[in-house]
Amino acid sequence: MHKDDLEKLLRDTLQQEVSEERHYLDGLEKKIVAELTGRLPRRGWLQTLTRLFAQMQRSHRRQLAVIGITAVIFLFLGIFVSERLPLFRGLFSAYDKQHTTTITANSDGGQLLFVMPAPGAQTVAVVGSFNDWKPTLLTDEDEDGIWLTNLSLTPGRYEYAFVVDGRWWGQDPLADEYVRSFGGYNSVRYVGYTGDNI
Amino acid sequence: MYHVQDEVSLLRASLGGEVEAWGEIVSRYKEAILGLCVGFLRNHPDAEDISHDTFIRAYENLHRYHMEKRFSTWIFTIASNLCRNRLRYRRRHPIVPPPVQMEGGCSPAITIAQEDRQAQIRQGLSRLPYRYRAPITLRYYNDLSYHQIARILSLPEGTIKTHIHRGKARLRQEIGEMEVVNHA
Amino acid sequence: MKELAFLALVVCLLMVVPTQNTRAETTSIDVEQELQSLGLQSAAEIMSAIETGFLQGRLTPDEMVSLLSNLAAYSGEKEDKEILLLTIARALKDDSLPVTMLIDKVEEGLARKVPLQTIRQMISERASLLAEVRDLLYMNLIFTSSEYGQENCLVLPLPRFDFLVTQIADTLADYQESGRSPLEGYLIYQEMRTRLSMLQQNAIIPAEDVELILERIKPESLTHVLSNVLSQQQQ
Repeated sequence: MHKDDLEKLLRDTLQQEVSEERHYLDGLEKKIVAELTGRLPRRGWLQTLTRLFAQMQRSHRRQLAVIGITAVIFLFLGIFVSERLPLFRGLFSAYDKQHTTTITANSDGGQLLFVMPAPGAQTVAVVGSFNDWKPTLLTDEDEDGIWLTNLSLTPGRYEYAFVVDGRWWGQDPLADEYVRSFGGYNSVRYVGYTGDNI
Repeated sequence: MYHVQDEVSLLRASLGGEVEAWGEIVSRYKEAILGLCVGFLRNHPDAEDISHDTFIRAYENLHRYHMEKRFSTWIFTIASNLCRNRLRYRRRHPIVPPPVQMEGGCSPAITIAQEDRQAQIRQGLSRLPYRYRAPITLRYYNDLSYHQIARILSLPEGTIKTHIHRGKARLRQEIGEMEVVNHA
Repeated sequence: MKELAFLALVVCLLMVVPTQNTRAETTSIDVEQELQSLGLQSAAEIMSAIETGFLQGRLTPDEMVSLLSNLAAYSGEKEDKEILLLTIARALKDDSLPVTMLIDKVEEGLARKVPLQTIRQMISERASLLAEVRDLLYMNLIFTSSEYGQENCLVLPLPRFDFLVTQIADTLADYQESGRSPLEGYLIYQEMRTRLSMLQQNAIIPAEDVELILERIKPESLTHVLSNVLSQQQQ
């Protein structure tokens, strides 16, 4: 097929498809106007303000912008000063710290030790993204209530949880971090490369 | 019928709450928007739905539109984003029946040969991946420049050219294959 | 005596050979059989997507057999199972997205005995997130194949690109599931930075990928991604 033929055919086809929608197109503007008119009384003060703002002359808008920017500069100046006064120090930085996790990397060659203290438990297992969430049993050979297993894992980030007698336990103290999942918690551990082989 | 003819005046009047002025904008853009939606979605009920939503959303967000910029690019971007969301929604909610095959329904004036060709293009477009179909629609139905298409789809201009080129190549190939099947 | 030793050797060999056969690798035929046992209407579409995943190296037969057999054994409506699989299949084939994270979440949900409806909802949200994050990388000129190769574009190999998309989307999903506001772009950005830094410290991803993301992706675009996903889910 010639290059121009295809382009013409595409144009004609789409135009034909639109013309088949004549019944829909015919009353569209009336329908939209009716719908918007019906809604008008419900418009809030914020929308009215933004509309007024949009209708303003360009010079007025500039004036308003200058006032706004000045206000923002003073606000930041206030924050800057308050951060340096002992009374206010930490007020803003505490918010940041709350969401920054302090984590230690785990990279002992892919061997990962899972430990779960569960005195009196019948079965303890670990489930996670490394075993398709199918239980790998932990053992307590010396019967001191500390259950252990050592898994060999390839480098990656793994989410997991312990299952103690059928109950999920998603907050392992040895984890690097925790995430919420399906309304519960998962522990997370990172397994790194021991060498520089990336 | 609204009497003001100039687009900027109509938009200013719409911003001022004159819904009738917006009605005039709808009447000027309705074919372009519906064509875009038909081309993007390949499903007439969805295309009608999204065309309607585009005009409502655009009106509600008119205060965000900068008068010095081209209005068509702005409203096409809204339509394009709504189409993209609808496609994703359709893919993830398979209870809804698959897109309805476009019926022929051509007027008697169209010859059989033309009808065949157009039916092939319709099928071909429906099978074409969205990334090719969208820029092809904007280019050949909405007559937009590569630059405008790139802005609407938020992709680099070079990518748009590549996608249009590959999309057409694929369409040619599909049409060729259909012809072979029909003649076999 | 020699004959006896020879006989013992033959017996040993005969015992070893069938053992090796029974431990043959899982193939797409096994996957198809598992899928057929679910008796789904859209089995052909799902299988075709899975095959695409195998070809792209985005899926392995083992993980699919595990997923399908777990789903088959799980109590719940067949329709829910079908929609779950279709969501993954369409993310993979129509949207060309990495789906490891989705499969992992389904497996976790099944292990936790979560109702299929809840899993469906979560998978749908996460699939949208993957698509939005992938598009975000495209918009910031980070691509994965030569198809998009522009002069100022950065083209990453598929596994590296997929890994970045998955990790960023997973971070955003975790953020969202923890109930925090999608409007706090700076906090979302911090979460992403922490996750990428941890992966870099453990040499799981190259430092250059982390620098690239932190340099090109802005906090406000992350807010935009989460808002888009929320609006899609509310449709």
